[in-house]
Amino acid sequence: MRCEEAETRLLELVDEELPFERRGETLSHLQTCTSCATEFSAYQNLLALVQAEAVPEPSPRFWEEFLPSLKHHIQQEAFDSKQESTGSLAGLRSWFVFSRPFIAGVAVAAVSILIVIRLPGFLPVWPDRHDTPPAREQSASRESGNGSVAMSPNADDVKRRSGEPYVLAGEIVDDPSALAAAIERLPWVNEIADRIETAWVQHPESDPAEWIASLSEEERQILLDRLRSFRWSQS
Amino acid sequence: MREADFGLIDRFLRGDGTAFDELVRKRQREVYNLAYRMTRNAEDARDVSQEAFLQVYKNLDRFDRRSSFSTWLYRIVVNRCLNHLNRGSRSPHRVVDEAPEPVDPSEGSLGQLEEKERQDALARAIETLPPQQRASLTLRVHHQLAHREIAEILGVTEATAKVHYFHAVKALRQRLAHLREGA
Ligand SMILES: [Zn+2]
Repeated sequence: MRCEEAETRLLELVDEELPFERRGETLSHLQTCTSCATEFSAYQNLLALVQAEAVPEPSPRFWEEFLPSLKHHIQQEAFDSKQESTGSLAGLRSWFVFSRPFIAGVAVAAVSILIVIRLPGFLPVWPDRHDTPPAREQSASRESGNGSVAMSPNADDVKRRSGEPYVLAGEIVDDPSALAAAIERLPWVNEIADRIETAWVQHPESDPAEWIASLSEEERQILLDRLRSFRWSQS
Repeated sequence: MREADFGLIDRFLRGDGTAFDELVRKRQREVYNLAYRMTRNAEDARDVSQEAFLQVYKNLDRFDRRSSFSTWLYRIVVNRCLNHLNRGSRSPHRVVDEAPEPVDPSEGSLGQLEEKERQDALARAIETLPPQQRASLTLRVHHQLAHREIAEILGVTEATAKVHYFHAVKALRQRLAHLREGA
């Protein structure tokens, strides 16, 4: 065998892909030809060097955060696409199995915080019919075309008198837990609840205000727009 | 391994979200390593890994199981890496287009170089490889895949996958020629 011929087979030989019938004669050539044997050994060393090249190990925190971060992306994707009935969302739903009161409660908190804390330019309407709403809010109420105004359902935030019922999207609601259930029936609440549950699962110690802060500006606007479209008033 | 993957996928498709968690935990390191070896950048590797698993999540119900799950997964990862590289996102930690160091035989063999320099020289050489060659190399050397599987991942014929691999090895051999003696 000539050296030129052997050289073309060296890589396949190193790669263990050289057909058996050519393997024997190539190995024989290497035993008698120093030049080709050196070349063969250089390829072996090169591949050993490549194989030994390590990927820098990320920090342990990187791996702790990898799956939660992925879930966040998946949640975000689900939120963005709003494809609620696709098969691929079945698994997503089962990630978070919470009691319905919890979801509703979180949704209430979310709505309250969203309006009261995170959207300072959008003030809640005073729910008490005996109190006079601040002038600015009256004006806002008049200006909105359909008269629909969002307000905080959180009793502490709005100093609502206990025992007085709300009407939420045409439904009479007389206590906070029923209010929560009514909010839960609004079509968009599952989305916000899902989102907040994810945040809660990932960082149970964090402040709910931070969960809301995790919404993008666009998402907050979407929520706000939806909120505006529901009529909140007293019975 | 393959049965275990399919079992997890079945569980996930029946609505068990924890099965997807298991699938991710089981595969996250190899996915990250492949992405890192392709992009040569930790941040890109993280982004690509996350994007790839997101894509897996969205398309798992469409995975036809004609290949192993890992082949399908790697195909997703490599495609995302190729997109990343084509977009020319972040620079690698070393300059990709930098020409190889001029070969000066008097300048000492590999045995005299510090380990760090040797690794840098290899890394620089790998970064000069076209993405398809880089993919063939790492899938062969680090993931021990058959050329047939690599071909499936890259969407090329087996012969083309082999050519990519052999070109990659030859190119590295040339670029690291000055390190030959000690290697
Ligand atoms: Zn020879």
